[in-house]
Amino acid sequence: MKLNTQDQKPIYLQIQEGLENAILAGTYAEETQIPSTTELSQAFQINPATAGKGVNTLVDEGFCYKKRGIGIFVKKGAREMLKKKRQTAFKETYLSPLIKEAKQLDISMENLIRWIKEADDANN
Amino acid sequence: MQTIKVCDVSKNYGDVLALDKVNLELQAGKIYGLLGRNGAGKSTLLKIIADRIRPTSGQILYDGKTILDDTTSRQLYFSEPDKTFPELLKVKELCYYTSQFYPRFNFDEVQKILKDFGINEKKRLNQLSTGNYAIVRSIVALHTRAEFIFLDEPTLGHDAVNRELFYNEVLRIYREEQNTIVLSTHLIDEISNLLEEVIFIDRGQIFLEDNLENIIISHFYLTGPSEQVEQIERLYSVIEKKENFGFISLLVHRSSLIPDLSDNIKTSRAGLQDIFVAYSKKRDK
Repeated sequence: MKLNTQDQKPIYLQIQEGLENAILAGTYAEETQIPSTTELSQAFQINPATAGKGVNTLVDEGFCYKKRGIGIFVKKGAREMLKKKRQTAFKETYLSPLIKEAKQLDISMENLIRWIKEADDANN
Repeated sequence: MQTIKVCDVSKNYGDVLALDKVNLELQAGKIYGLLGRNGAGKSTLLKIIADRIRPTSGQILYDGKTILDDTTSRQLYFSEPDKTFPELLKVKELCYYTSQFYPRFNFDEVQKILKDFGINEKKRLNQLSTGNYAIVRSIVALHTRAEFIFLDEPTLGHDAVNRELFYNEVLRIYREEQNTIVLSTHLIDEISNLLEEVIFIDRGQIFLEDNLENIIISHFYLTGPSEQVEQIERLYSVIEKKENFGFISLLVHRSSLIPDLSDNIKTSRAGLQDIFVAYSKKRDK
């Protein structure tokens, strides 16, 4: 996980996304503990309240839960839930800008779809 | 101490109005950034809060009381860039005297930290370079572990490595003490990650005061072809408008919901420094 201080995205959102990515990647398995607010504050040189906001959003959205006096843990089923959330956001985050740029450059839908398939073949 | 309230404080230096009816409430357990250009009134405000100078009018309330007594004055520490300590004092002696007044100051710990910064404790204050003097006074200030610590330009003269070490130390003390630390500086981007609350001051007036995240998420850029941007401009509170080559870029404050934007208008986020500069320029007009 890495923070980008040049990126103007609020730091707490970067913390939240970084932790989400780590859960998706399996770095923090279900029912294991994620870093504490203090650890995040130390590691990234950020205000503990900012780190706390990032962590608490994961709790509020139901991907993590608090064990009192111990810390924050990844909920069972969190990976699947996160995948669903990201799939829903996929259209807005990736497709819309892609289509916008394609239109600006007069790239036809057929071409766009063909290119995506070609890129996928090249990756495999 | 739970709160320090600045009530209608003004300060005149002769004909110059350094502070103009400033109202502010500082709460326990937060890191504040007091941000403004040189000469904005940052130091004057801090000196008045720390009871070093008197306001021309208005007052400061420390938990509702107008006077700092022997106990409450130890709950507050103010560190300023002016060389106010006796210049022949040795670093070690400054630490010793500070520990006598602030009992939570850990003399041995501070000696070790200053050594890590490469400072010889036997040196006299007037033998230190500008950068090393700044390190000594800011580290000593943090380690008073007072409930309210005011650091005026704490990194003036620090090199990049020492600034990072210092910022780490600010966060460490804050995590240990959960006290209030007010950092006054013009280096906005550099400290923005440390902050929870932001106070923007310009020409003696506080013109914006809010939680850092609130400020970041409520300001953004709208950029697009001039005609299209001009059509939606009136829907926003515009802080800055830049026109170049048929394109307009607006820095706006989101006061209401964003209407559907045409495909040609792009939104992007602004950093704290961009926001500050835009407000300052607007005030200059």
